[in-house]
Amino acid sequence: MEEKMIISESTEPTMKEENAESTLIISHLKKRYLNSKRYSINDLTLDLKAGEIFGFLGQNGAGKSTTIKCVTGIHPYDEGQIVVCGHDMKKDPIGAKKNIGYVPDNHSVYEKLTGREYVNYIADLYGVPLAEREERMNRYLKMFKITFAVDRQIKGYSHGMKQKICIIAALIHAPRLWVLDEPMVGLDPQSMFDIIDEMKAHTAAGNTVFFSSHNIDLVSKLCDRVAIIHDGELKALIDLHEEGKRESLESVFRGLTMAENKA
Amino acid sequence: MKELKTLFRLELKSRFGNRGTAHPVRSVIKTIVFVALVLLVYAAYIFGVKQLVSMFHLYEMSKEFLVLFIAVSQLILVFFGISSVIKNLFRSGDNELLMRFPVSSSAVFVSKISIFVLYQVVFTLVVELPVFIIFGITTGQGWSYYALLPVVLIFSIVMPLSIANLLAIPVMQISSRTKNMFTLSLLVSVVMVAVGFALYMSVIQGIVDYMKEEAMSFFSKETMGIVAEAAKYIYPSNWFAYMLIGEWRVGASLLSLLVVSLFAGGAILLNKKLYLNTILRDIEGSGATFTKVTKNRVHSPAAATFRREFLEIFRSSNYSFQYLCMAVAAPVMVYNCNKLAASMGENSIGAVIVPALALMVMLVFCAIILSFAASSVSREGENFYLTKIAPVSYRTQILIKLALYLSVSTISILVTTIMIWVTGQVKVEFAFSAAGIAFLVSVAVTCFAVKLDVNRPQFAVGGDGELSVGNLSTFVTLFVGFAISVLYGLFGMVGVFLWGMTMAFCILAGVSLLLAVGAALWLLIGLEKRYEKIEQK
Repeated sequence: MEEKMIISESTEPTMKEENAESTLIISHLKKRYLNSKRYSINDLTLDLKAGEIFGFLGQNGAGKSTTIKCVTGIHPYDEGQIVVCGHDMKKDPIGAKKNIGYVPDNHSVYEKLTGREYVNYIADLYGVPLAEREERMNRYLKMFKITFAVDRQIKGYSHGMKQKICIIAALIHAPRLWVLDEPMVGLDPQSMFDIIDEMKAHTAAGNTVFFSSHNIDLVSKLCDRVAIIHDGELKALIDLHEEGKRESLESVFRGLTMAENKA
Repeated sequence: MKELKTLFRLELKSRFGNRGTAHPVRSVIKTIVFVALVLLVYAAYIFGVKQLVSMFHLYEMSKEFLVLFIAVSQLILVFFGISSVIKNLFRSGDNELLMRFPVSSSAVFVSKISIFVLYQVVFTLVVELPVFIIFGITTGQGWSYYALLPVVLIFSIVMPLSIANLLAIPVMQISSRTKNMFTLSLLVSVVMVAVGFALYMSVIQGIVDYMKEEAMSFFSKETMGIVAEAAKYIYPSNWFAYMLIGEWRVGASLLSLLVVSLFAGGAILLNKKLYLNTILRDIEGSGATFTKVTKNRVHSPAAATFRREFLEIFRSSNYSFQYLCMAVAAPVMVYNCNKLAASMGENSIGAVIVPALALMVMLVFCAIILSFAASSVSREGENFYLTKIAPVSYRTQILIKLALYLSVSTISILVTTIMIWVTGQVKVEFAFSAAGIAFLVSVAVTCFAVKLDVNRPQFAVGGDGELSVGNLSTFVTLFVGFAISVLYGLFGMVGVFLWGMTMAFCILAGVSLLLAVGAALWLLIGLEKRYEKIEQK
């Protein structure tokens, strides 16, 4: 009874700012992998607004990464619609992708390039002018303290350094929607604080951050809203600005996912 | 012993895995076809060996045959052994993992070398043993021949294995030191391939010229004399052969045993001393990278992708060798092949077929170079997602890759054309016509190769981010490329007598244009949808 109540309350669009522009609209998204009978994402609907940090919570295999991969254009989807800053991912994928900056969970990059070559390559793909890319690159290199390594081949970077160069490349075109898949895994505390600061700065500039995580504590402290997904279905959409929601996030998450697991 | 057994089983599993299949009927059919093909090839091999042994026996050169056969099989095993030893023993992906477990380095070494020994045993039993048996029957050898055969087989396994092991460590050291010297590595590879090939071709040319001038066959008195004299000095293969056929048996046996023991002992000692150290150094050095200070520069998305794709190939010794080295060395290879083919062709059919031969050889090398395009998507590996999120259409990305492959092969074709024209092998009009046809066929083969990979990419990359398994699309592309080359060559040679070379080349150009347009359409129509559907879990 309690679980149903949370779902019915929370899946309504309870925006922090009702009139804010939508950066990402996911409508009735359905995704099934090749040779699979079950939907990995089943009828998912979300509306992310400009200026918010949106958290995506779920257990392993819940469908978080699959959703993110559909949103970024990596995976095709079967039904529904994804609109990024007014561009439909199916009808105008280039327009949609131009507005996205993506940080993958495995930090894969072209390791034979140097850090500078890689960031410049991504900047070229997004058509970033020289002055802007230089200003942004220098600012982020300083912020993440990897200026010393930018002309080294990425192959020799540590896990954290690869993650940082991925983040710089994702932000080099100042995307309206910054998507991160498990961004804090394997990072040292200082780097985590730097990313959190950048997330806040990014949304303060009117952009949106959409990230998946297993870290409920981080999500509850950082996000404006959070979606809980389980077995590919949206179980709850919670506005953390509402009273008591931040404190109760963990128990809500446990209640939803454990109840489902038992069932 | 128990840990060794576990490691060996792990090694077997990692190589062969559990091969289940979703389509058991299709799998059975595939297996039957595969087995039938293998049996057919094997029967042809046995038949060929039987004929060869009988021929040598007829001309009383059985001993020389045995020496040459043992020497050639030893050389093959050493040649493939060095790369196998490096790959399996020193650069195996799980070395770092195994080092963390409480297992001794000697257990790791023995478990890995056991697989290699297993391959050598299979090669020896399947390829060498039938030859020895056919030889024994044909030349009527006695019981001592068969009694000593197992000893020679063991020597044939141990000897190349030991040599490969002894050579692998210095090769490893050199390759580790030249890891990030990309231009130097490419230049050295090109020079080695070109010189090796030129030497090989000049030896064949020499044989052809010699036979033409002397009007003699392989089994003439002079040739037999040369072969017999050479066979005396091919150590230790001649001792192995003498042991078997009973010529200076005791001495040959003792010397064989001594040499094999020395090499095996040396290999064991060297590995005992340096195996762990070399692995650890290699693991430590695998992160060794270069620093290259550059300025931020703006490129168009197309130019940036072209540059990135080129750097990815250029900075990989593996890809650089497969693609750039072959493209750079191709003109030398074509020139030599053409020279040889022309001298043989002139003799038998006439100088008129030379342009068709030149075209055929040019196409063969184009097929080798362009087969690399059949892994254009697969090579992205873990970075494939970047091609999906980039705000550049898939069609543009693929066209950029095509442009890179075609620009390299076109430069290679042009250099080859100028070479065969300037050296007077082919007249200018036919040389450039052949280049035009080769270019059109290159477009067709490249589009075909890329389409195969788009349809069925295999993202099986190793720890270094490079493709770790053979790509089926590459083999299919090679096969199709060779088939086109042979068909074009034959058509040109026959066509010259039917309609003249100009007409034959016009027809081939027309067909090539159709092939190029057809393959391009096959690739480009529906490419966006097909590419979008590629999923990498």
